[in-house]
Amino acid sequence: MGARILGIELRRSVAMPAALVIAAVGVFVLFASNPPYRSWMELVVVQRDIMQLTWPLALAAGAWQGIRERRSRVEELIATTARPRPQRVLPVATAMAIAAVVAYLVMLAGGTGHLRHPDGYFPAGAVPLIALGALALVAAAWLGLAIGALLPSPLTAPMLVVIAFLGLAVVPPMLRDQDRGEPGAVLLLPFLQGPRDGGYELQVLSARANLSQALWLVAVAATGLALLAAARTATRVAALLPVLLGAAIAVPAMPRQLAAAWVADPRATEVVCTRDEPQVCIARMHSYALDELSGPARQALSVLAAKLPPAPTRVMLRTFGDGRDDGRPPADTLLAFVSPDDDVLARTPDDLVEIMLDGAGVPPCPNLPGASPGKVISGGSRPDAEARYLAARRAAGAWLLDRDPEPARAGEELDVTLARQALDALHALPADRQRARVAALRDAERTCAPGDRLDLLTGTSGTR
Amino acid sequence: MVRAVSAAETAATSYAWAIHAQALRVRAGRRMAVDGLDLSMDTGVHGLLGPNGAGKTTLVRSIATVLRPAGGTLTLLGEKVNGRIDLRGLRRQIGYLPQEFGYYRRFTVREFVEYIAWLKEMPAAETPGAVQRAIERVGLADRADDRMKTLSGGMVRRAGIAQAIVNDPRILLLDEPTAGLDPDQRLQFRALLRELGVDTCVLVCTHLVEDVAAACTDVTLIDAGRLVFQGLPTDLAAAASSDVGADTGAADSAAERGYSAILRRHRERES
Amino acid sequence: MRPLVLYLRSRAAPATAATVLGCAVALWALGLAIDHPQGRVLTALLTALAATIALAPGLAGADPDLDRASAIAWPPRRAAHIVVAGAVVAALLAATALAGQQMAGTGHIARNVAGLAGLVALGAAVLGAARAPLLPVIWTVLVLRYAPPMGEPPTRPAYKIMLTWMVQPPDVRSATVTAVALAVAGTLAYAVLGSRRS
Repeated sequence: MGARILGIELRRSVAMPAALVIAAVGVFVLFASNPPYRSWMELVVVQRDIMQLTWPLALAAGAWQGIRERRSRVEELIATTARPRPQRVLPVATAMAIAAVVAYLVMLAGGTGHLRHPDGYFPAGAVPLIALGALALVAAAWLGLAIGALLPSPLTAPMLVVIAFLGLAVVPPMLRDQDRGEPGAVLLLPFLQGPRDGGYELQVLSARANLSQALWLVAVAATGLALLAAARTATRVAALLPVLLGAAIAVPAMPRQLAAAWVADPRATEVVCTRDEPQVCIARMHSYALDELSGPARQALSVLAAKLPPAPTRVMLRTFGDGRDDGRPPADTLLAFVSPDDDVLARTPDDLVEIMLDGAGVPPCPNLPGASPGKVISGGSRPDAEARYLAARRAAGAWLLDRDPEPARAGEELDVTLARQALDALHALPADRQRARVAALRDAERTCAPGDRLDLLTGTSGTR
Repeated sequence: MVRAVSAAETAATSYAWAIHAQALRVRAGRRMAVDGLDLSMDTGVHGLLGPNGAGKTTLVRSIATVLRPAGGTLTLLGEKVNGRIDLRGLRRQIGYLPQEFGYYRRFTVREFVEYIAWLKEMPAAETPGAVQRAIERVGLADRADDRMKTLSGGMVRRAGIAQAIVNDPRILLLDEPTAGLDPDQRLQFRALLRELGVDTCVLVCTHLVEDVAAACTDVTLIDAGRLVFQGLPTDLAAAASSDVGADTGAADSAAERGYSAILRRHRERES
Repeated sequence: MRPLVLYLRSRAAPATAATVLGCAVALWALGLAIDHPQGRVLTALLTALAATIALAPGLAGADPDLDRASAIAWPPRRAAHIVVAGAVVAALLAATALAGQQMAGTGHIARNVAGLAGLVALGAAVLGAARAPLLPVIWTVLVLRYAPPMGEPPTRPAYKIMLTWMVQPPDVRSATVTAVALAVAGTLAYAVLGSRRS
């Protein structure tokens, strides 16, 4: 094809200026429409989501380039040259493809400036998402080139933006079913919406969804290229074949509901540990916080060693809903839970110590009320049993740290009140009795014995 | 400077004429612009004259393989054009400068000529040298790396000539090549034409009879799609001596007066 | 009368009229198909955008030098051109309300067309007639992506309302003011400067 000709096209066509504009618009929207992204996955998915905007722009850029021949009136001269049309359009198509990929990657690079933790977990599942996004832009550019060559009016490019945007923005809401979400066929559209509950860190798009989308996008790109290379009406009609074939194969291959396309990412919740003492382990998706955690971890362990021997020697931090059911932690491990969208680094070291020491370093028991205290219904307060359980754990933590329980946030007033009462009751006892009761709570939590923990602390039912 | 010749060319040619048309008919829109034309041209510089609407541009476009003949036969370099699907081999050996020369404004002169050379399937190794040669021959060497939108009208025309000659074509078709050239450039262009005419069949379609008289080895005059006159430029001027017309004055050149005379006589004969 | 006809033909008025008519028909057809309320407002806006940018190629004659060298005074004529054209577009789009269910109120359409036409005229003065649609298209599409039409009460800061004027409900004053300001500014710029030659 000629590297020199490709170089000429890259320099002189609209490819590079269009790439710049699309990347700039994309970066602007990435920054302006969301607060800083908590994970790489969120950034990658949002970049796909804004393809509602960038895909029509790429289509228009292709169309703008595609009308060049007619606008420059070079058609007559080119008609007398020897090279057949498929070979002739190859350099400009390649240049636009390069521009599309560059625009997508530059957009991603710019968007990393809005990432909260650039050194955080980069899931392998993000790579196909990025690749398919770039492929979708290439398909847009090629389709645009073909349409521009067929309809060389100065209005073609802006009209394509409007029409494409109309299609991308209006069609999905029409297809959405309130309960079950979008049908899987929505994957036919180049942009992607994230998982419904927003748990970006924990999920990746399934391989099936990725593959079917890849097949479809390749078909669209092939159609665009074939339409561009077609010289006669018959070949133009034949050029529509790939897209029809692609739809016929890809649509049945796609998952029924879009929600089903998002699957758990096992690697995200895998535990990674520090190498030096004391060993601190955390889910991979929070691995950026490992360094900051060692201080609070050490403090928590030393507090436990001082006040409640025998103390654990390592700290593990896991996330709610990570799907691992490992049972109760061994005696040498302090296990605490954080919620997936918790920004661990935003918490102060004191906060972290408090989380670790809640319940004397043992996680809540699943069989007891209050096991998943993550979400409080606003305006209401917890049921009593739950409040008592959480209050007992809170009081244990406060006793270890020798401070008052934290002031109540909305819905937690009952917890705090009960915790304060328990704490006062505890402080009234001699030191070794206090230690014994807290130890009893810890043992009960470790084995998940049934019973009211608050009573354990305040001594209303069988103390030692 | 002689153009580079390939082995195939130095072998004895199997055809008599580079351009040979017999009863050629070509449609332009709804009109039959070329209507029963017989033409034979070989190496040399051939001038094509005729009034507006005579079918000159249509003839040139059909030789350039832009238009397909509607009737008769057109044989280029020994190959018949009618009904041929694959004109690639032929198009590699043709150079064409259209009357309305469209170009990519953003490209530099060198890039544009190189692009056309690539479109004519010139071997990649030869292209840079050929491009440089072509640009130098038309006198644009100092503007070779300027964008085409910064060139004046005459320079654009010269760039058009450069793209036509870049592949050393066997048939060179130039439609109004001197439009916009200043007198000095026109003299240089005539010298270029004479140089090219040594081993190429050049067809120059123009209204400037002086260019034809000065540079061409023979002149063809067509009117209403038919051949009116074919002969030497001196014959054209000779036809003026027998003409006493009210429209002409002493300052009009002999060639122009001869052209007028021949045309008038032809029209009188036809009606 | 004849000069007017010639002028309209020189500015490709028939093709423009066909395009605008097509947009009006599309508006009517989509009005039948979409009943999602947000979707209806969005579609109305985008169709108005399409119809307005159809005016762009007609804002420049075939030869800018020829126009510039002519004896007649262009500014009032250019102003009349954009004003009348915008009014015709607005009227055609609002007329779809007669044929079926309204996607958006007449005042809403009029405001949007006025502001967008002003942007097209401004774009023609600044970027040239061929690139004029860039201005309204990019602004609208950015606004639609960044702040989709939620019909929220305008409690947000004033500058944000002005930036997103096209998606505001028709009774919001600052949005209407913005649209009118754009219309006036665009018309003035286009009348005085004419289309930039590209």
